[in-house]
Amino acid sequence: MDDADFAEWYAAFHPRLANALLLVSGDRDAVAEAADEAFARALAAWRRVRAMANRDGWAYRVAVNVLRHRARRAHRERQVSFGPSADPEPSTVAVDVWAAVSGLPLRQREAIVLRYLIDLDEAEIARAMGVTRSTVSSALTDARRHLADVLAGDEEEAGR
Amino acid sequence: MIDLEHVFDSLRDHSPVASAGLGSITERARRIRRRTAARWASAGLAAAAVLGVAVGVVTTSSSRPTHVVSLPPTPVPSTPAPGGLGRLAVATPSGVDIIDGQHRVHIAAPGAWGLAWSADGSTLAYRQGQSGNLWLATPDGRSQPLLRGTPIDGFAWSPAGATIAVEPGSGGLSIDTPAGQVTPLVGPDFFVSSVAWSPDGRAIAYAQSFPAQSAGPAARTDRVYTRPVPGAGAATLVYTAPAGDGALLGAWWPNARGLYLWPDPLHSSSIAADGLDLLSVPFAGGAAVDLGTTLPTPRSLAFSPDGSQVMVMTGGWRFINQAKALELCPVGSNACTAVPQPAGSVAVEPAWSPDGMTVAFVGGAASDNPDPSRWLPTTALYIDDVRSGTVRQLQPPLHGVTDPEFSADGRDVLYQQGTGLWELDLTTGTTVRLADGLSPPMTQWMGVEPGANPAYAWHRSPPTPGPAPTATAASTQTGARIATLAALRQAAATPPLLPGWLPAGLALGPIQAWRYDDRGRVTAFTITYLNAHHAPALQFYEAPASYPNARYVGAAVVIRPGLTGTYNSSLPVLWWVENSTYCAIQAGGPVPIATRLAGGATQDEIVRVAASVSP
Repeated sequence: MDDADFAEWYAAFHPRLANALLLVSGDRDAVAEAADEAFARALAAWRRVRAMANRDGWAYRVAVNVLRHRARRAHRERQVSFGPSADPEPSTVAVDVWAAVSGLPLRQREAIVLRYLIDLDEAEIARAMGVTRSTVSSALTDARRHLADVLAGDEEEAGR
Repeated sequence: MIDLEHVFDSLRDHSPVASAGLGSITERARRIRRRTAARWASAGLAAAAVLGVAVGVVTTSSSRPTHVVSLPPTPVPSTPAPGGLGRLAVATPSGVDIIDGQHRVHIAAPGAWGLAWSADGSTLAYRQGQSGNLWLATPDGRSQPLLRGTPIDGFAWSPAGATIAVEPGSGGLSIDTPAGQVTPLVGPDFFVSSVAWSPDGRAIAYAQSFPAQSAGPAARTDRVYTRPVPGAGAATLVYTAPAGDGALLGAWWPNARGLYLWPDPLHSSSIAADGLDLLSVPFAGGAAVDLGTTLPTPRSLAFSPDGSQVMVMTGGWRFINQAKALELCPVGSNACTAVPQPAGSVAVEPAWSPDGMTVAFVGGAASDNPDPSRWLPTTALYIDDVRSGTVRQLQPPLHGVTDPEFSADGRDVLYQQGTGLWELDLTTGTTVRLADGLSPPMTQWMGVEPGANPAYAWHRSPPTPGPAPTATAASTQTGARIATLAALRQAAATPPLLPGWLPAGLALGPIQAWRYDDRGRVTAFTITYLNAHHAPALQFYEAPASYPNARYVGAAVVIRPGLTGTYNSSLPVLWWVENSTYCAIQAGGPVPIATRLAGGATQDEIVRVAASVSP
């Protein structure tokens, strides 16, 4: 039941992929298009994609490539560059997370998104970002520290 | 302690980005499958091409978009630019301005970017708008679109004449001329990721992806070919990327014996954006040399004018203010020497002086913050003395500077500062703003098309020659560097006088005079020797006195301590005496070198020598 497998994966992974792309890009229309294209390509080659060890990571890379390729062709990189996310309209629960992650430097932001939304391990993140594993580890450590400070501060504010 | 797994749970199940729905995705997937099948069914050429590649020959398709190029040939205006700067094109929000010293021509082209002059200066190419369509313009401001306004993926001018390689967005590769002549090299079924011209413009290297572009990026593998152009010469396979990977081309070795390129894992733009391993690949075979991680853009490579060395901008991460450094490497080798820079700084955008003695570059604070407004104030212009390996900051400091380039005579440096384009006279230290309103500099190179930065393109031209020489006796003052262009040509045409000074097989190339004194005598010039591929192999420059031990000049005559022997020539010989401030032209005849070394040429010698080559 190939299609059933795909439908289950699509339903579960689409929100995570879209949020991950939105956190590192910021252009909601471009993100929606890139996510759809990634899933369509996955379905077109589902037999191969399903057998992948980490199809989530594959889909993320495809979507990012689509984002960048289209941005490059359209020379809209300035608009869809990996800048802070713009107007994500997240749920109330997620507002603090959006704000905190958007405040991270790019490297940390991408590492944290790949780790906690795409569920890649450090080696996979290093490959996806084209950096060393130790760099990823360092970026994650810094990002965790920053997020902990910011989010803990938000909790304290909320508790007053 | 915050549990981040829990925190991110809130983003796992809901997204503000709407899903297209399974039905839409399924239909889209069907279209992808149909497109893929159709491409393979109709692509008999594709199979032929793959088969051809196995024996090193690529079969090309002749089907490609119709070109509408009807630019009439336009002579280049002869108006000299102030100071011999040449002709400038700058990108502004409203279009392109062309400045030649007396005229300023505006082309209304909002959003223009990627400016590049043809080698002969007759045509300016630029891209426009979000689609990145390619336009060609003449210096008088007339412009027309190439490829009937269809998008392109990239282009590259030949280093000779006005021939341009174009990668249409629909696939393939062709060689075009402004007059409308089109030579397809790769059919539209295949994706060509990048191209690089040989130094003489008679061959091109390109990375072609197999199988056809309808296959997903991870299913394609790039192969790099070289091929003579124009004509129907066979392509030669020079590099194959690892399975599923791409290849991005940097530049040919200046001696045309190899290529710099970057293997591109998974054809992944996001991986590439943070830097790839730069390889130096010799055409003759043998192992490629890895020069470490650099941004995969030709701007990471700056070749010395004589083609023997390359300044490599090393370091990963996508912003230029992140972990970048400069290393000077012999071409084809990874025996590189780091250019000194302070801790916590980056060094980027190297630009060679035309005499090959110095490299200007931008230095600034290393930072992960990509905001140009935060980084640019930390930058300054630096000068690296290549011979001594010492670096100095230009004084008085110029901050917020990007994209420096030397003028043809080495006396001026152009640079962008904010939205202004400035000229710095290195002799007087004065600066002049040449243009304003340029597109502001960015810290990110990757992700935008190569050529999006800088916001200006400069076609350098030699300075206007001074009046014809009227006397040579006056050119014998101590300390003067004296020559006449005619004598230079004659001297340079002389076969090497000492075996070994020049490699065998070199032919005399162009001789250019860059600077004249008030009597019209040449005081700065370049003599170029060409290799069998007609590419510059060696260049000799006039060497100012500020360069101790300068090796130089003309007809392969370099006097340096410890050298003994006798020249025997019936032709004038240009002499340069190291550690001295003058050179002269000597009539032929046996000349014992040792006598020249005892303190250099004498004033009396110079007088006699100069008189003997009176034009």
